[in-house]
Amino acid sequence: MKSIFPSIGMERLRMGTDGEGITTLVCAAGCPLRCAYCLNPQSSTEKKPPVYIFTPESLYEKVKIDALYFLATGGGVTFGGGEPLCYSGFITEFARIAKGMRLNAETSLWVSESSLRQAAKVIDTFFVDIKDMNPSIYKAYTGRDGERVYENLKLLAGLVPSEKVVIRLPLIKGYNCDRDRDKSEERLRALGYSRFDRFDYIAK
Amino acid sequence: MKGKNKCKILKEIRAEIARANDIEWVTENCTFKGECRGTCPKCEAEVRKLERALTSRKRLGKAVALTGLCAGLITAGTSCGIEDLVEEYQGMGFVGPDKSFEIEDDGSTSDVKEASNSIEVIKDGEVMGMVIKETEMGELPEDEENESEESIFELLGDIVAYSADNFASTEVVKYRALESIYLVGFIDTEYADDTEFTIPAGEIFDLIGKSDDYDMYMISYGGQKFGCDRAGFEYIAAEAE
Repeated sequence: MKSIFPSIGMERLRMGTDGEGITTLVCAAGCPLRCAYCLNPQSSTEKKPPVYIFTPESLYEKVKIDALYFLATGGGVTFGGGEPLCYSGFITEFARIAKGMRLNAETSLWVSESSLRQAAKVIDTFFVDIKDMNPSIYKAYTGRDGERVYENLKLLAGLVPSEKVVIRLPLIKGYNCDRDRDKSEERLRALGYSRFDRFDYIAK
Repeated sequence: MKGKNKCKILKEIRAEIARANDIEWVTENCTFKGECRGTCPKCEAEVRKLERALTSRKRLGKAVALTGLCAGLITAGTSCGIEDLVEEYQGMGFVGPDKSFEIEDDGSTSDVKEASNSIEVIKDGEVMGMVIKETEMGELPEDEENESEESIFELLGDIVAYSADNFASTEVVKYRALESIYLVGFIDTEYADDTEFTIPAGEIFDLIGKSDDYDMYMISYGGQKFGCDRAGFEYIAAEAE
């Protein structure tokens, strides 16, 4: 058996953007969402991007070059995308090889329950871009029903300590406002989440 | 992070590691002007040098210290998780906080062992990471492109399918897996069930449906039907002759 991770690219030595310390971001190809302002539109497989196929071993060979920085700063590897939790099986295998390496995931949580359960065993920090907790806003922005995300948020709250989850609350021009973000945060706090990161999407 | 800030921070981290481990450390000023990713051969060579020095230190029976240096050096607002001294250094990777976890045993996986505190010494001359190209100080050659991994499959032509509904019948297209591939798919369109399955190398399977709405393909193999997301499917098959 061989798990693969189709990646649209990776970036080394990131600081303060996706996890503690110095991180290497590895971006997955493919995403179930169709966000109006996708941060990485090249991750959509509809565009047939050039994709690098990693096995767990080959990815470890690539990222271990920064092992010293990871150790010294509390950093590690962040899986983004695209939707990296579509490849939770791969991430689990990778974690087995990269013992001790901190692993983060930037995710929409629009994944299956089993993928999330699998990832929760090996991911140190989840960065969840929630878009908006209002179902209408979520559907309008992503093209998908957000109920799955809400269910996964409830599930994740029971699987990992709240300090392992950072909820990103974007201000998306034309879709939500600060009051919507306040309501989203209120609903999320009710689920037990306590770490939030508010930022603005900037459409170019 | 703009300009040389990243390089400066990385240089400080390396210097701090050297200081914490009594490693004689002299750095040269970099004359490169412009944005820097911190991955130039000069900086990479310093990291390799530091790793060798740490390994030598351990070989001599001395403690190796890797302290958390991110506060004030990494962007403010991030917190550093490692404050404790890490005394053990594993040669081929590294040892961070103890991490152990259990994987459900489905017969094909093995329990994960706890992170080991034993030391594997790097042999003289062996270094981790990429080959360092010699370059003049200050010169920043282009980073090597991410080279494509040796492919385990080949996609010949486009996948031809059409659908009127989520999984309408389509022209059946046969595919052959070039290597045994493990996939996670779903049985139905609602993603209610996840199924892990393997297509052994050389086996031929049928693409029987394609859903534009869910960006999924329906595969028929071994008398069963599986849904598979496009990213997982498109790069694992070659159209069978």
